[in-house]
Amino acid sequence: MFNGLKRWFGAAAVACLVVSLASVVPAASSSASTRARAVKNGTYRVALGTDPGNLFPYQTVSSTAITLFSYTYDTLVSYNPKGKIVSELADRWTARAKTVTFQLRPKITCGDGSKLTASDVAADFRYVLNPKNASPWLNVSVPASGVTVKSNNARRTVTFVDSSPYSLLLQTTGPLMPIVCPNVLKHPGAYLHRTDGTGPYKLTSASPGSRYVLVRRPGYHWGPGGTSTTNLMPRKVILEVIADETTQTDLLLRGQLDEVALVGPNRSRLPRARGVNTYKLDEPFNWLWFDQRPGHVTDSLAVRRALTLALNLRTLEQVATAKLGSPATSLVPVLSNPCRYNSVSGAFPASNLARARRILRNAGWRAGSNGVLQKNGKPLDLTLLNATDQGASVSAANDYMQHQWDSIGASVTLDSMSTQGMLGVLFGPGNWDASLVTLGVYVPNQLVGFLSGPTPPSGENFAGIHSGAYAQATKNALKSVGTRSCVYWKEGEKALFKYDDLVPFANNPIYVGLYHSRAEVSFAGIYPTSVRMYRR
Amino acid sequence: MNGLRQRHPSLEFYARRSLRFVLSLLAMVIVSFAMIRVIPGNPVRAQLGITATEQEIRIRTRELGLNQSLLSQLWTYLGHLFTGHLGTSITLQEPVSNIIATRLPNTLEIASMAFLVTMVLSISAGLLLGAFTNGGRHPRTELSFTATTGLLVTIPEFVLAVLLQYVFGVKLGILPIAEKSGWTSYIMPVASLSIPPAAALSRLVRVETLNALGRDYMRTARSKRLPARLLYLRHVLPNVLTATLTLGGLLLVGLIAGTVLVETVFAWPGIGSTIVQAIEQKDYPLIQALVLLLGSMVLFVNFVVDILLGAIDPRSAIRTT
Repeated sequence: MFNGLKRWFGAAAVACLVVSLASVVPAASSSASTRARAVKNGTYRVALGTDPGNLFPYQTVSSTAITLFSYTYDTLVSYNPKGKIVSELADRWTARAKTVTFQLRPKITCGDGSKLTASDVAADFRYVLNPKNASPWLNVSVPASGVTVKSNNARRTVTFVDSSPYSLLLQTTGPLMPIVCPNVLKHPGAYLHRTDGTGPYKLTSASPGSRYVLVRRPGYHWGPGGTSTTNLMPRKVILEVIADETTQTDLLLRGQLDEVALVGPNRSRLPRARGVNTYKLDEPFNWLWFDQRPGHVTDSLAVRRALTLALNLRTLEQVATAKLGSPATSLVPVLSNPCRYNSVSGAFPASNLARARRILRNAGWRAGSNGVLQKNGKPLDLTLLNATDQGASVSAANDYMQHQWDSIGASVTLDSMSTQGMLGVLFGPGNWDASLVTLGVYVPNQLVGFLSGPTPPSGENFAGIHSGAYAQATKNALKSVGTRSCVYWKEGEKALFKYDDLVPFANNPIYVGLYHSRAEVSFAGIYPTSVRMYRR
Repeated sequence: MNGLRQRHPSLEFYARRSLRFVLSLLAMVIVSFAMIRVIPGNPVRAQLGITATEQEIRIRTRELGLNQSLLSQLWTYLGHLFTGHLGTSITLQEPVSNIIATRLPNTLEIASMAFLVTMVLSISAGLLLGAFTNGGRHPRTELSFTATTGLLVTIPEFVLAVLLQYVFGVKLGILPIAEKSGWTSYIMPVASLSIPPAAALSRLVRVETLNALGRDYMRTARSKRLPARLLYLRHVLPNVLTATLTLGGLLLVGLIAGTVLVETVFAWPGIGSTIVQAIEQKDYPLIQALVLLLGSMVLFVNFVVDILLGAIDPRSAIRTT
């Protein structure tokens, strides 16, 4: 269904849409295994929806590649289930507005036994920072410009210095990007189907398009929060490429797979299956955007307000997510967001058609001869972009919006096209007024360029949002260090909602199903060191 | 031209067919080239996603050569095709030729098995039923045979695949649900690929058998009291085979299309499941190459069938086309 959308938006520049799993809700599902003892040295089989492809980590952010990397590579730091930063490769760190320093643990070793040094880590980031390499991690794990990386092998420190304050520098450079061992950078081409990292598992065989076999590494003791590999963890992990979610679910329910992550209609089969532990990971889904560049009727606050009031956002959420979603909470997925806040709750008034009509009348809109509202001879014509390849539920949501808006006197044209065509319109000449689009990001900093600043082609603010309050809030946020910025990020989002610049209405969860197994869930999937299998 | 036709009619037929084959290939190359360029929107932005930076998009566009003029792009594309350089997949970040080399054998495995099974099954069942129901005997058997095969012919491969998967994999649990593993994992993919064409072909074989059985040479053979074994193997089978091979070749073409869906259902690591994913992820270099590969396979099979048909039966009407 909206598989296409997830893959599509998620696959690339910022993998997070697929990967960044949010708000772990271990659904109360039937599991007989809670108190049972974990199986030692088991074999754990995980479904991958697509082949991870090239395994050189700095040229891919595909969600399935990142799943594989979580077994073979480590990050500098990690999040615990409560959203606090904990140690991983680095056991100490200090963060200021413009600098962050990580100190690596001593005696971290790569798969071949060689030591990982601070300069190796710095080299990884320098590769990403080099614009010639066009790494999709640029702007994701490190700001694109103004950052220098320094290292000191004797002290085992890696330091990032930003020329302008970036507030969440620690949360950007620390927990997102897999750190590779120096051999990988020397010969990226040799690591097409191999890995060389410090992670808790080693890739022992790769059959592209089919399966990837990983074996637990002894002596690993630098996992999240200082965890080590134990024999309670699976000894062998097999990642199996299975594109079809129905097949994945069938295999899981028969115990021929131990882990699946679903985004399609098969999700509803998981919670009622016996022996399956289901974790729901909320993802922001399909925000309603209005084109606010000059010449668009949606540049007017009255029009945007009326259009939002005409919609029952709860209905819209249920239609768009086929009743599998929940109300929106924020623009950033909870699990990768260092700030845990709900900026959406209470931000939008309840649906009220009469009030919507009144607002338009007060703004000078009068019914024309054909029943469509007019102001100064200009009709209230709206073009609503509809992506036809994002599943029936998204199209149904667009139909609902068209119907509601027509009923308050607008004349809405549904412009249906592929998602590719839609992006062409959004970033091109901009023949649109309203559209459902999601931006997949890890941290709120990444949104700034899309929600403020210059419009395409000189910038990325494709809807031409010009909210002074948002700009001020983000300026304050960037100046504050770490989670002290959260209050400003929340304020910024609320400022956008207050003037109906952007209307998020749904979270659409990814369902992670584990068969008679338990694990802690991260934005990159599950933490490999936390997997425990139980007797079936 | 007229002179050539009179002197070497078959040579002229082969030349015409070959020319048509080359022209079809060329048309397909151009269509696969145009595909990525005529679709509205920037394919690079579409693939990299909405949050890709302008710089990243510029670099990838240059890598794909999409910033050059259409004509020079076509020229480089043709040049690369001849040197076997198929580009790099955007999503997998891996040379396309690599991907084809690892996945094509898996597809050929099940496709050739399915073809073999189809042939053996349909010829034996068709011959047997033909002999059994010859001359209006056993009308009930005939009815149930035509009804069953008629039904099976109408079931698309992927529906059959899902059905088999549900019954034997999910409900009964006697066969692996999906993925390539031991020999048992081949059973369902091969069965879903071969049952519908086998049903179609066995109907044809039966009719051809009945046809052959009514011929004069059969009466002669019978009057010579030839043993039934020789009667069928030496006199019926060869006469049935020409028509069967023709349709068999066409079914092989259908098989190529069938693998695309069946591989996806059974998570088979072949070309078919790869092309489905490539299309979903808008991986144009990969789609382009796979469309070319599958397309040229189809054209090639058609070409060979035409040539064989002309060669086997010199009276065939195909020679004049």
